Amino acid sequence: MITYLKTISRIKTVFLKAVFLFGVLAVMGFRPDYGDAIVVGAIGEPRTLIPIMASDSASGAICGLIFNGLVKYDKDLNLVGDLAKGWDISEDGLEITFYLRRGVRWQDGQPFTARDVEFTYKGLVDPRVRTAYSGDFKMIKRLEVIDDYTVRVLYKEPFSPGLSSWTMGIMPEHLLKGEDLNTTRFARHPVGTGPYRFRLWKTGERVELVSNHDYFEGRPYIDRYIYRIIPDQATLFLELRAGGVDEISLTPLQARRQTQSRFFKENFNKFRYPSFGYTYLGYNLKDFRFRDLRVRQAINYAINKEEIIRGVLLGLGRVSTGPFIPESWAYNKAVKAVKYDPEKARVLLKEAGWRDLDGDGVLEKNGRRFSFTIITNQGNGERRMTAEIIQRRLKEVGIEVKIKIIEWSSFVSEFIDKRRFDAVLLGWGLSRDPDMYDIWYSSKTKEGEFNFVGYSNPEVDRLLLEGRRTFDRKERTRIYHKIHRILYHDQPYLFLYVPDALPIIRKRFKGIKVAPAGIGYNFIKWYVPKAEQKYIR
Amino acid sequence: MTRYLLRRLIGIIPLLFGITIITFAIIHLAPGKPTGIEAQFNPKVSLEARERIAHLYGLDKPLYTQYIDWVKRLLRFDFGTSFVDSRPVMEKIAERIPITLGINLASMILILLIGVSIGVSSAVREGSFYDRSMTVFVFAGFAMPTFWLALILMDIVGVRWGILPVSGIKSLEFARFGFFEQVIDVARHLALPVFVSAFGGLAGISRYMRSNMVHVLRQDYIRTARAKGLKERDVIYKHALKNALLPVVTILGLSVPGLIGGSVIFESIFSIPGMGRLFYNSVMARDYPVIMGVLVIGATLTLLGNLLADISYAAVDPRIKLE
Repeated sequence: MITYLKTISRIKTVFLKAVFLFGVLAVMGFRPDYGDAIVVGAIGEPRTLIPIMASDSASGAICGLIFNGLVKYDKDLNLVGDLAKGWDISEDGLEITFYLRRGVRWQDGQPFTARDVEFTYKGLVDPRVRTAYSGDFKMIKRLEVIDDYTVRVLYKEPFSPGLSSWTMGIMPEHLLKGEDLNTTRFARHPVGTGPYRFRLWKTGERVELVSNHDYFEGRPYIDRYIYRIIPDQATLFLELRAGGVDEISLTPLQARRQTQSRFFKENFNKFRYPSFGYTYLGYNLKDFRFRDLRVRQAINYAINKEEIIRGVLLGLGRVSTGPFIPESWAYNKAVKAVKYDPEKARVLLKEAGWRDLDGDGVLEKNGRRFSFTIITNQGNGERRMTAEIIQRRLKEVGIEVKIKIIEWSSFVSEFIDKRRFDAVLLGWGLSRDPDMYDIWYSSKTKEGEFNFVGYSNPEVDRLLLEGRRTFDRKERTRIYHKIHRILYHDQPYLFLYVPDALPIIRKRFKGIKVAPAGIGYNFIKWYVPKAEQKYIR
Repeated sequence: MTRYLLRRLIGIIPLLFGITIITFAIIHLAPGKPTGIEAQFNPKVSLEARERIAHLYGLDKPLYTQYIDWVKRLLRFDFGTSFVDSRPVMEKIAERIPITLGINLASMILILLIGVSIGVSSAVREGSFYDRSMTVFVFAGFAMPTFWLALILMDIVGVRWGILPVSGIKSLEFARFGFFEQVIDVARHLALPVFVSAFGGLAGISRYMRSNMVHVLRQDYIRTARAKGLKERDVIYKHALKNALLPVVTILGLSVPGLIGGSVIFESIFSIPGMGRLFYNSVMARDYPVIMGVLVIGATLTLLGNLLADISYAAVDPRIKLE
């Protein structure tokens, strides 16, 4: 009876609120309120706020709010204009002409012009500058400033990923001319054209930004953006509960088991969408066991990816079949993951000549037991658990697996770069452009390059080059769908899963909509109704 | 005394030099490379770009050249710039030392006050129920993992009761507070970390204090003091305590380098931007200039701390003369 009354009274309040709200909306015409601050909690500290030097995700996230590129990705992962309002690509694909927005001002009031674009380009290709992004810009033969608002970029050969490389944040020439970009004070006091301007950076504590009222797409509703550095996952979660931060990324365990209470339902919104990355088991294809396609396909049948997703991610992920963003146009949805089938795996291994002759449960061929080691990096529990499940499933088909976990820096320089491994469990982050030349092209196998599994398929090589030379979306879709199909057939990697991104945000923030690009794409449109604002000055 | 001091100070120089050679060799021999740029394992970062950066940092030179370059800079008190963010090493260390030093000093004072009292009171009641429960108490603090205690306290005091902040060292609105509010704000933030680190350190000092005190209380001069009819309070605090405190002075001298050292687990949990995190992250990223900077400062402080312990020992104990 009491609950009944409570429900009635709750319905009544909700109803009254709704009527009130409706009235207000009707009178004023709906316009979100300005004000409040969002405190984002994260583990990593940014390294620098110079866009061309920002190679870690924390720096990238903050730079993205302060700076603009010439182009950007919209919510559906299409390239659209940002500082450029449009562009032309010449017939032969060798020239891209950008038409810049007029009337954009740097946050210090100076006008933004084509000369800033030129300056940024020069920084990117200057051999003295410690930028990691010179690669894509080395493809440029010449950059011409036609007038204040027109830039022509001439490429040495047609290079379609070049267009998306112009998402790179543009830096102000008038503030940086003559400065040493490696050591400039600007790295910790940046000035951009973006929706937020820099306020302060307390090392190891937080970075604080305030909204740019003159932003060319309109003033953001949320007045302040505070990035708090909390290097411990457990503390982050406690801070979230205590109200010290408004947004964090949850672990699958927190998302599934620790945020189900009424307190969380009443105070937070949880979001879920595929992250831009995937986890895989890469084989050393120089190894005689993994050189055999049948062995790699057998392992694909022997591993139940759904089971890994259930066990490791508590269901918060999806099976991956290829190296593309699942929601992007490049991902070939027609490539279906094989069904878990240990019997088929056994048959394939037998065809490949592997038999258990001495009855110890492990297969042999030419007197050698099928035993190999999976290495992965320390500090990633998901990868360790995934390796353990693989170990168990492969044992059932007669393959013995050992697991070795190695500290990151040694892992990369001593094992991956030098190709001292049988199989490696790793993940790749995915860029919005599907070009994957550096990972799959057959010549990219030098020490320190990214085709460390040693994959080589002339047709994929040809398609990768073609994909880089083609601008037409339809044509590129065809090319990457084909690459996707071949890679899944060839199994140079055992593609495992794409984990979900799991942000959780205080309920007072409104206007958040999940799209293929995630949730951050319309951050400047997020708002907090006046009555719910927390940080008022 | 002056000659002794001078001799010891000069002696420190070759020692320090040797330490730098060994540490420089060890960190360069350790597997792995600076990851300042490749931490993300990013296919957009080409091999050529990474090699170029290594060249700009001078990492392609022979090791002994790198060491000589480093020493040359050090002689001008230039510790170089970090591989991670290109900031001067001195700046990175300087912004973190005050925080670590502050917390360590506060917890050391707390440890001294409480530890000495526990030690003395236990020694006086040697073998009593009080003595034994204090033993259990201080060892519980010693044995309890810091991260566990910290998380439990943060959950109870910070989240459930909401009376203290969970982590960090200042509020977001710190800059707009008045001076008095600022002091209270920092104190509120540091209450839990200082408590947790002090609780773990009580065992050392209090046990030292207790055993010294027990030993001193059995001395003849204590019996004499009692025999001539002094009040028990005077016997303990004037005659016994002074003597029992002597070894503690040594411990204090030896803990000088520890004052700027932080624990990475502790600092991560409370999200305190201190030396522990800086050093740990630098090691993980193979940020050689920062690692060397922290180690040189640590080594110098250790050597000076030892000297300080010797000197102060002579100062408080008339039986010891330094020559």
